[in-house]
Amino acid sequence: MRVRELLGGLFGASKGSSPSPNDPTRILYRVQRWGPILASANQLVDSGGYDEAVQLLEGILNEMEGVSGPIVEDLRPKATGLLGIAQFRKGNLGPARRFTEEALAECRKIGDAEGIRIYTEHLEIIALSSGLAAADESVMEIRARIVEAQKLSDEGWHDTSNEVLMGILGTVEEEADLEYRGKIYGLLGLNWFRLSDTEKAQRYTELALAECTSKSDEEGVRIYSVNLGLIRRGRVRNSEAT
Amino acid sequence: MAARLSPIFNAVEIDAWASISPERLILNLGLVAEGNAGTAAARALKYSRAAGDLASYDDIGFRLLAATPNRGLVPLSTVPMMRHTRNVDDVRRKNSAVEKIVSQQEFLRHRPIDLPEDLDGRFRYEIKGKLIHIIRRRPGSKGSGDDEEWVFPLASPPQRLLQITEDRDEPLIFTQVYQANVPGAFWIPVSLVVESGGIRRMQEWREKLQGRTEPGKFYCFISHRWQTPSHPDPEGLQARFITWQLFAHLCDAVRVARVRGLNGARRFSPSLGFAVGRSGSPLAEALIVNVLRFALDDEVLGAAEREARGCEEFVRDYGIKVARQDFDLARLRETLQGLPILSQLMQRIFIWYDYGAMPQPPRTPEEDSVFRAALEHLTAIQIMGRTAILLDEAEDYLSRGWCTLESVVADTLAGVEDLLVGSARQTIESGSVEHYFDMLLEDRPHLIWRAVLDTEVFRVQTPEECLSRLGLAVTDPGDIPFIYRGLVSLNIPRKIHIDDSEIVTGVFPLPVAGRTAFIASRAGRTLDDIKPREVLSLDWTGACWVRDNWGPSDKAETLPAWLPLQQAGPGERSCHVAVVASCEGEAVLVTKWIHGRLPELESLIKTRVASISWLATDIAPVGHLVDGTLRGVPVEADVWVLAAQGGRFVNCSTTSTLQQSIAASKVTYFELSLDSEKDNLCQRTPPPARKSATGDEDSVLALDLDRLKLTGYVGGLFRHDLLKNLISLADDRGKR
Repeated sequence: MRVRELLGGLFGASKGSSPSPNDPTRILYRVQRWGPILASANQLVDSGGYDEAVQLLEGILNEMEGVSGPIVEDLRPKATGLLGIAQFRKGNLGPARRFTEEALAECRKIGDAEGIRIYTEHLEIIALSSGLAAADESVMEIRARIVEAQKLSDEGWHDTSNEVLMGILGTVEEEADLEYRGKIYGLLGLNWFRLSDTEKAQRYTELALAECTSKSDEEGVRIYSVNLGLIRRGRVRNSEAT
Repeated sequence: MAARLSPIFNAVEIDAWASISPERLILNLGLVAEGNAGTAAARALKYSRAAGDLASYDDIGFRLLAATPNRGLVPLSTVPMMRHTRNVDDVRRKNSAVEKIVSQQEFLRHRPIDLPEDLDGRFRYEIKGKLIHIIRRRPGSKGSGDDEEWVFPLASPPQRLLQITEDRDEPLIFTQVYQANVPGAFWIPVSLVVESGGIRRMQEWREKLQGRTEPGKFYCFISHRWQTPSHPDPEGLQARFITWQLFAHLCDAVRVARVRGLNGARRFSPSLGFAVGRSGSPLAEALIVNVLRFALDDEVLGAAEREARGCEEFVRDYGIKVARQDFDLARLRETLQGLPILSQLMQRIFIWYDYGAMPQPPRTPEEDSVFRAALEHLTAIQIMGRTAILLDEAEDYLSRGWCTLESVVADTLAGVEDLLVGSARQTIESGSVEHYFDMLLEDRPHLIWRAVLDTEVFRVQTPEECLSRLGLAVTDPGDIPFIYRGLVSLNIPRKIHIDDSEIVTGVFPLPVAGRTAFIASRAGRTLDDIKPREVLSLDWTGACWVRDNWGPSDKAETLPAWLPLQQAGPGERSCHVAVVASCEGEAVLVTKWIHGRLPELESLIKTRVASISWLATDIAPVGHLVDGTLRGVPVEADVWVLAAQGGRFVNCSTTSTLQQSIAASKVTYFELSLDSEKDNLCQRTPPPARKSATGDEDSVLALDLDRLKLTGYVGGLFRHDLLKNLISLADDRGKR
């Protein structure tokens, strides 16, 4: 019903004549509708209407077949990625992973850094959810502790936040493949900066930057490069002042 | 009759939606976004009124939102919308393990210390919870939405943001300035509730209550619903939630005061509308101002902070978890015994809770007279202190006539209310009331204001129908006139709600100089750099009140959106007054006041008012529409007066568009804040043409008047579409 309502005009016969599906006017008409349809699908996913969202998204992805250009390059990874999210919410982890990887690959191709960040994160969520049955307790515990530390830091309790982080640092440093080492070092750096210990702030931020660089974590590199610059400039100013 | 649109809407086509419920349509943006922007508001308005003539204001608002293509970040909150959001949350909670993982992501992202010093370009921002996201298009990005985000807690915002903040503490409550002995008022010491293990029937502890208020103490009016007809709190849960949360907010106050300094003011960003830097909950901030600064010095504050730090485990969620299990408040009593300073501070806090503060039946004749005196002075009692709403079931709370009246009195007359958690719901996080409850309460005054205007100004319904369409029920029908009178006695809601989903109707006056008309090409920030040249006082706050400003012989139809008056005589300066209001009813009300008092304005600024126009920019277009169209009208005048609520000059983009357009025409220009009594008529001197920070020319178009083509829009325009459609009114050969 919904798909017909939204897409019926694209496939049904129009008044007067039946132009070819490849008619440029018709393609333009379709393209103009993709944005609102994508927005609808997004709302459906947000509201728990996963089946309807999947129908909508599969519909527009079918329409995009054989159409090229910057608008399609921009919208296709978004539609594919959203399809991955809808499938994930439906509990179909296999298709969710496949569509998300597809969206990530397309974002990499066009250099959409925000898309890369979002779909990388989403793949991580899918992986963690896949492992829920096996319950990787240690990873979940570390995540929970980092979240607690971040919330404390956000509230201004930087010293308490550092205590939480130091409590998990040992475990984190032992596990070679752990994802969150950059985040922990980075937050320690930020907390020490707020506590006016710029020496420790610099040391931990350097560790964070090195960790993110080695993991090709571009967001981490962007953020901690800026943090490091601010800390170093602050230290220079402090030393000049004294 | 009440919700019927005028016949000009008959030609508006909504057949494609007619059979679709709002619950379905709200998910169907693709369908709603079809058609041109010029008719979108008309379609939404027509769909919203399709539920029947006496549909509730909430239902109209929800249908309107469902049919709105650009909903903005903070659209109107209604009861059906809250239900919809709650259902969505319920669907999500079904897989709580996955939801937990998803909700953690925000806190696992890398966080900057500050914005890079060399960062430039155009930014936008979003505030989500306690975080501010500063967003710009990633340099060199190709795709839309490829943005770069910088996320900061509002407690530690970037330095650039802190530079544009001001000191803004919570206000002193009335009793700090005046000693009040209101008939029938009895205040309950919170320490008495803790000692008693709950709230007793008033007659059981009357001699321990306080009638006369004192400075340095905190008086908190508790608005709550009764759990049963005979007892508000048979299990004592409300008492536990009230006392524990007050204690927890006190601990928050102490810790914040310690960091910021006892007299260190809270920093506030007027442009964001949020406190930034280290701050506590609004209730904690109120306790700093009204209790801590009276009772402590820096040394004792340090000791109090050590006590508060020891309670962190209980109070991190504002005491919600511990309150559930502390059946007769024994745990709180025991806790306070070891905290001498916090105990003394708690003794300075008093509550007004009807069951414990008004004589309960059966009553003696003397008790009955005390009860009646309290009922008669309920609003006075409420505004003496600060109102806290104990929210257990928002939908039910807002269906009670008395509760709703109390909540809007707090919002409209005092401007503040605190929300306390009133039940241990699954959805409660960190002790905060759910966001959608908060938003629902924030928008209630807007719906009520339109309902009152429909009844009093447009006279399209009776007071009983008014309460019924607001979804308000009362146990005793005899209370209806009292509650209705209470609602009518309120004035324009203090807070304005801004969103892309506002519908703009009325007349948009285009300033004209010679043969050129001016219009802003994009809504921007207000004209901060235009310093007031002259500041005058004109107390027209009466314009904001129904009861002082609208009589039986007044007729809305005599106050159209474009009202030409007499021409200025030789040697006189002509003046145009442009009103910006929150809805058509308010616009008519304000215009009536202004029209009846023109000599006051004319003598003050030495002009002759030649015309008045009004523009309604309505976040809740659920009320009667007397005009229901939008059109541009060129206006040439020597002097302009832009009249609106003060908040609109800072935050409203429709007002900002008019400000910029008027300023570009270089006329003498005044801004009149209708909700202030003095220093509220400011003359602004437009600056010379300049380049913006992004290197653009001034964002105002100068258009050849002879080539202007003005179109009227039935149903008005969504604010989101306002500028591009108003500009399209004009011939595009206009020059910059």
